[in-house]
Formats: sequence, structure tokens, C-alpha cells
Amino acid sequence: VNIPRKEKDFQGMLEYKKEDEQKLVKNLILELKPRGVAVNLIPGLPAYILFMCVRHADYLNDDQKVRSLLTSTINSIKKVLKKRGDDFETVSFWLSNTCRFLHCLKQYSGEEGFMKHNTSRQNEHCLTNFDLAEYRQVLSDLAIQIYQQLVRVLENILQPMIVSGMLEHETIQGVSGVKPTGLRKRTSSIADEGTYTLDSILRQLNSFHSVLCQHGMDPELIKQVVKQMFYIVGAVTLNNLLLRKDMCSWSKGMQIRYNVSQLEEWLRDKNLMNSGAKETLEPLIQAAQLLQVKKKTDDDAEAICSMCSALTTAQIVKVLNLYTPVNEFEERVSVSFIRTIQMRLRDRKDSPQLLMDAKHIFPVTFPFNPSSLALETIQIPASLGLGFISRV
Amino acid sequence: MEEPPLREEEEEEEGEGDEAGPEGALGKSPFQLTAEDVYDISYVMGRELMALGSDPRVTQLQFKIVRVLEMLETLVNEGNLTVEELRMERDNLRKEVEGLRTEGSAAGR
Repeated sequence: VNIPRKEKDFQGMLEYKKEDEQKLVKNLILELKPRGVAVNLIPGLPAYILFMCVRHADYLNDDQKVRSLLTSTINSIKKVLKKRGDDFETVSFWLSNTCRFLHCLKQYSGEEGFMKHNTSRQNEHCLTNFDLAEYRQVLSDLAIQIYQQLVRVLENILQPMIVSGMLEHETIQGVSGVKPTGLRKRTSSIADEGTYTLDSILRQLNSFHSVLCQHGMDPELIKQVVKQMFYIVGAVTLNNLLLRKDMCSWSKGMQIRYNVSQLEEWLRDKNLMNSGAKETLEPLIQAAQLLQVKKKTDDDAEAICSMCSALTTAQIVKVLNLYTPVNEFEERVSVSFIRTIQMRLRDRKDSPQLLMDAKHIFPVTFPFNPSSLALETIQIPASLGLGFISRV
Repeated sequence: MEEPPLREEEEEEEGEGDEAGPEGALGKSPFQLTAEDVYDISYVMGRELMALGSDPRVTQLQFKIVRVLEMLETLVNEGNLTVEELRMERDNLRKEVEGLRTEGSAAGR
């Protein structure tokens, strides 16, 4: 006979037998799919479960078990990233879970600085026997490594779209007086096929952003990823402008400004205007403006010098040299005009740099982001295949 | 003409996916549902549950919903598999019937 019993009050810990540790990391890390019912409904679930396992080992005062679990956890995450490190979803998933695990180790460390936002119940869940500060350092280094891998993956996906979508593809009809040359197709409807457009880029950004959100990535971290993506788009576009004569015309300036405004619109839409992403486009924006302003009189020269604060002298001069008039109403930029600009910029202490470093990665930070989730209410969904661990 | 049509198709598919999005899955017919849709629904509901705060009753409900969605996921996956199996079986039988018919009519002649 099944006697109905009042549900036991759990303490938010998880217990497993030592010999099951490998099975635990296998099901929870090595073979866990980044997309599934349980992890989608409760983002960060693997991290919470791992932390609850750490709590029980701490509660048992079993330093051997704590050390072994943390080592297996870190090694397994590394193993997953080695095997499927070129898959954006996998890398994003483990970046966000590594961060969440790190946040848990801080939030429940028992150090006052990390307890400010805790409920009293959460404070009862703090570790009591071991100080895991050194492991936090290792995990934080691991998170940096995963972040860099994430940037490399998204760069590889974006790279082939940028020149085509930002520069070559024409979104505004009828402004370029230049006829398509050489290999380009004649009518725009055919040219659209098989090439990337600005829409392809926006769609790709959407897809990246929605994956990051679904994984419950820290909002501060999402901002940094987006800033990095925008930097890549801006740097690759500007570098191509500086290398190709056919990209330096009034109409390309128009095109670029329109495309940039679409990217800004995307940021506004996603509420990311304070991410610093827009600012990374500044050199490109100024180069586009430079293509559009008048380039004749001394006043024009002065205006250019005060406008192009985010471009180096080398970049400004290069654009002016490459500039190709679109029609008979415009003239080539005169040699004397370029000299005037060079004279004016002489006192500027700037780098002789022409091309931007498109591989540059802004240093990442992981600000502490405590969670309101109550560990004692967490259950283990059957789909994780962790029937051998039990709630305590 | 010389352009391989591959990418165009890819883009179309992506486009459709975008239109549907996580919210779109709930508007689908249950028979068109894929596991991916179930994951999308899972994410949308998870976000809404989280917005309700960390009341233990909410969490209890949350894990019941996980279970229900796990069941839905299995039904969707298994359902599609069964349909696929039956379809293959039917096509095989149909081919066999046709084969026998042509054989029979050839022999009758």
C-alpha cells in the first residue's frame, strides 16, 4: 500500500556514489545535447546540478571527492570543446554553463562580498568546509578560453558574408553611375543569387543572438559578444575599402551608411545600444562620410580633418587617393588637396597603421551575476539520464 | 544559370525558420511538430515561468512541465519514426503488388 507522505524537505544537494562519477560527467557534460527540453526550460541546469553535487561532497567533508569532481568537470568540458569546438551552439552552451558554475561557486562560497543578493535560505546553502577560490581561478581561465573559441567560430561564419553583404551587394538602386564590371553579373536579380546580402548578415546576427539568449548567457557577456561581432564586421569592411579602388566612390559611401544604419537598427531592436558595438563601427562610418563630403576647398580639408578622428592619417589619405568620381559632375581629388590634408594632420600623433587588425579580440570580463534560483527546489529531469544520483 | 542553386535553398529555409521563431512553434499543427519546435516551446515557457519568480510552487510546476515536454518530445520523435516506417512498408508492398500484377498480366498474355 502506498502511504501518501508529505514531500521531504530537501536541502538542495545531490549525492552520487564515487564510482558513478565518470557516468555523471558523461551524461551531464560529454554527451549532453546543447538543445533539449530540460536545458531549454531551465538554462544553466547542468551547472546548477554540478554545483549541488559539489555541495554534498563539501557537506561530507570529502576533499578527495570534491577535487576529483571538479577535475573531471573541467576536463570533460575541455574534451567537449575539443571534439565539437567548431559548433557555435556547443561552444555557446558551455560558455554559459561554465560561467553559471563559476557564479554558483561565488554565490555560495560563504564570502560576504558575494552574498549581498542572497535570500536567507540561499545563505544556508553556502559551502562549509572547503575554500574553492583556486578552482574558481581555473574555471575563470577556462571561460576566457571558451570565449575566445566562440569568437573564432562566429568570425569564421561571418567572414565570408561581410564583403559581399556590406560592400558589393547593392541595396540602393540607381545611385551608382558605374556599370557592373568584369565578373559581376549584369542584372541585379541574378547578382543576388548565390551571394550574401546585408539581410544574410542580419539573419546570421539574429541566429547568434537567439542561441546566446536560449542558453541563458549573462546579459553582460552577450553585450561583449555583440560588440566583438560588430568590430569584425566593421574592420573587415573598412580593410576592403582601403584595398579596393572600386569601393571608393560617393555611391559606396551612401551604401555603407545605409547598411550601418540597418545594423544600428538591429542593436536598437535587441536593446543593445549600450553594448559599445555601435562605437566599433565609427572608423567605417567616418570613411563612408569621407567618401561623401566635398573634397575641394581649404574649408573642406578642415572639415575632413575634424570629422575623421577615428581614422589614421594613412587611412584618410588612402581613401582620398582611391576615390573614383561616379559621374561627370564630380572631379578626382587633386594632389594638392591631399597635401593640404597631410599638412594639417602632421601634428596628430597617430599610428602609421593602414589596415585594422580584424583578428583583434577585446579582453572579456565575467561580472558576478548571482541567481535567484532556489537549489532546494531543483529536481532532476528524467531525460538527463541521471537516475543514479539522489536528492538530499 | 551556371550558379549552383544550393545556397538559394539554404537561405529560403533559414528565412522560414526566422519567421516561425520560438513563438511560432505554438502556432503549428500538432502533426507538423518537430523536436526542434518542442525545444523552442520549452525555451519560451521557461522564460515565462522564470518571470514569475522563485516561488517553490512555481518551481514545482516548472518540473512538471519539463516532464510533460519530455513526453511530448518522445511522442513527436517516435510518432515521426513510426509514420516513416509504416510509409516505407506500404511503399514496399505497393511495389510488390505492382510487380506481381505486371508479372501476372505478362504470363496471362
